[in-house]
Amino acid sequence: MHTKAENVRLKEKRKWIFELYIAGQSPRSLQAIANLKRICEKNLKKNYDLHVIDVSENPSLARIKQIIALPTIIRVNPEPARKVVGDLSEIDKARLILEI
Amino acid sequence: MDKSKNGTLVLSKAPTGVKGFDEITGGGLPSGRPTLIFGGPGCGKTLFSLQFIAHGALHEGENGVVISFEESPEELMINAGSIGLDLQTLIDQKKIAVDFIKFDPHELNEAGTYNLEGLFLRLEAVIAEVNAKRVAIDTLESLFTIFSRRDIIRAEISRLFRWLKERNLTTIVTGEVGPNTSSNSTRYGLEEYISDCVIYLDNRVENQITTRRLRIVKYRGSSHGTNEYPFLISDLGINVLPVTSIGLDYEVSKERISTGIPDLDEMLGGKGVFRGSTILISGTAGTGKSTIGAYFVNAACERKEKALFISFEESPYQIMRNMTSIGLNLKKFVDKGLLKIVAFRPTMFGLEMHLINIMHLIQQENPSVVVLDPINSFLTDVREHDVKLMLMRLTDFIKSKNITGMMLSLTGGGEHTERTNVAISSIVDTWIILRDIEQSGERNRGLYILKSRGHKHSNQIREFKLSDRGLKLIEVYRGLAGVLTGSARIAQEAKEELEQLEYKQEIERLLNKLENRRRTLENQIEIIKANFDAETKEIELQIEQLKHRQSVLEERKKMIGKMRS
Repeated sequence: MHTKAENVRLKEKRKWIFELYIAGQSPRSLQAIANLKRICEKNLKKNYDLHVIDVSENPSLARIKQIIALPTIIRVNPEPARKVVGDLSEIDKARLILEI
Repeated sequence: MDKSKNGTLVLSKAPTGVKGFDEITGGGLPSGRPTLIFGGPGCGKTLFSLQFIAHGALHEGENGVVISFEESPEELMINAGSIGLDLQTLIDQKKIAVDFIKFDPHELNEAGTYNLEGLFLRLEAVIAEVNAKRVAIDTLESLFTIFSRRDIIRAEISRLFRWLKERNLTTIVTGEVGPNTSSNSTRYGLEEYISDCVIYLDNRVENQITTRRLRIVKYRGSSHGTNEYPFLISDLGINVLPVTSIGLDYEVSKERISTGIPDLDEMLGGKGVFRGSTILISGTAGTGKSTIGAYFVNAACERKEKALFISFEESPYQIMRNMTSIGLNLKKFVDKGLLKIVAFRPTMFGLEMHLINIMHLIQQENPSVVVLDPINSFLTDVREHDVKLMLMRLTDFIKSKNITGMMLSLTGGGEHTERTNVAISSIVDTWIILRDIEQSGERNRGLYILKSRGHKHSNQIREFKLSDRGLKLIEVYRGLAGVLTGSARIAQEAKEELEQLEYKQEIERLLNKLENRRRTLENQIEIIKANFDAETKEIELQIEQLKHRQSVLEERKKMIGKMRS
């Protein structure tokens, strides 16, 4: 867990990258996209990239990325990578895990 | 589901290739349905699953996938290799696909709701990859340790079983036994979702020896044995030991082979025993069981056949030395590679390990005869029933290879020879009993054939004599006093000989007497005849004289008559 000061530094220096894995345009998928965007907009302004990946179109990705639960969010940058499953409806918990 | 002959629906079965298991379940696991296999760590559930998948791909034309939560593909290969399965080749041939689900619970966090759609997508992809009909998920319960939302996992597991059934996939899911092992349920209650077939595997330690057991907890729509079945895991695969003798349909040989003891062959209808049959020799200590076993392997080696002598009591050198004392040179056959003598300590391993070792040896040596000396050494760990099962399995194994087996069994002093071996007598073809006959302060050995399937045999008890010139079966004295052996027999024989002599002499005496009488009589007849002859001559002479006088008188009368006229 990083300190608050470190987080501020990270926020300023680097671009945040997220991968959001979903399966089709289900309400839960849409919910996850909306929740992640909301958190990022509020805390990271424009300093982030969000890639939404539909695993149902390419199931082998689930195998490569070791994903079984959906939605799954991977924070690729900053390192180390963080993995969260769920639609992020528990926003505070999501922020804590992703250290946003 | 298939239609049976009378039109009712019957559950179709998917053979597992686990020897013995398919017999006790009437064909294997329920086809197109999920089965739960659970047990403690190391109980063999993963290997059971792998055998099921590999058997489908190799022998049933049903490709399969393995979803592994715990072991990497490399670890699975090694595991499968330990039971003689080559997973890599099957994977290369696109008959089997493995998906390893690697999850570190520490790196995973949850925020909000989710489902396991990713798992379903992966399953679908891997099944499509090899067009699988069989699935193994090992262990499904890992989901409960990866994810914290039990409500979600439960709902998804229900969905998974529906999903598998819709696709008509024959599935094994594995589970860990709960903390309360006596309750025989899984840790997270997986059995609640499986209505078709539940199997419990147990790895129990008794008397410091582990035994694996299998029990069918539930098998809907199918009759099944409710017993616990011991099972073995070896490089020959997984073997369940069913109570009934399996595979009684092996080919039987009409060829007869010598026991190595001509007198015994003679008792067995003159030709010895059938090749591929099983012979039980039982007797008390020191009655010569091992010797018979040694003659048996010796005879096989002399026929240029391979023989295996497995001893649970003596070392190979001890056996060779002991047999030299009765004139058997086993060492020369050992040197030639025809004979192999192996010694195991019965208490060294568990029963199943012994069975594996013995089967392994037989597999490796491929002998034509096998001697086990003595089988009841196993009874040291009290589980007579398990011993019987083991011997039954071993007998079946030996018979299926057309190997002639000889089992030697030691009977305790106070026990009745014929009763103690009842446990195994039903599985042997020929049963020969050796017993001490105590008489006149001596112990002598007696041998008789209690049963011998398929050919006629002697009902005699023979005296069994060991000397440095080998083994002889002597016809015992059978008289009104019963069977006599040893010096009692010799005394009896001597007595008889004496009597014989006396009779002979008496007859000779009488014959002489008769001869004398006849000679005397003949002499008397001679004398009488001579007298008679003498008398006859005398009388004839007198008659002659009288006739002469008569004729003289006639002459005189004639002369007087002439003178007057």
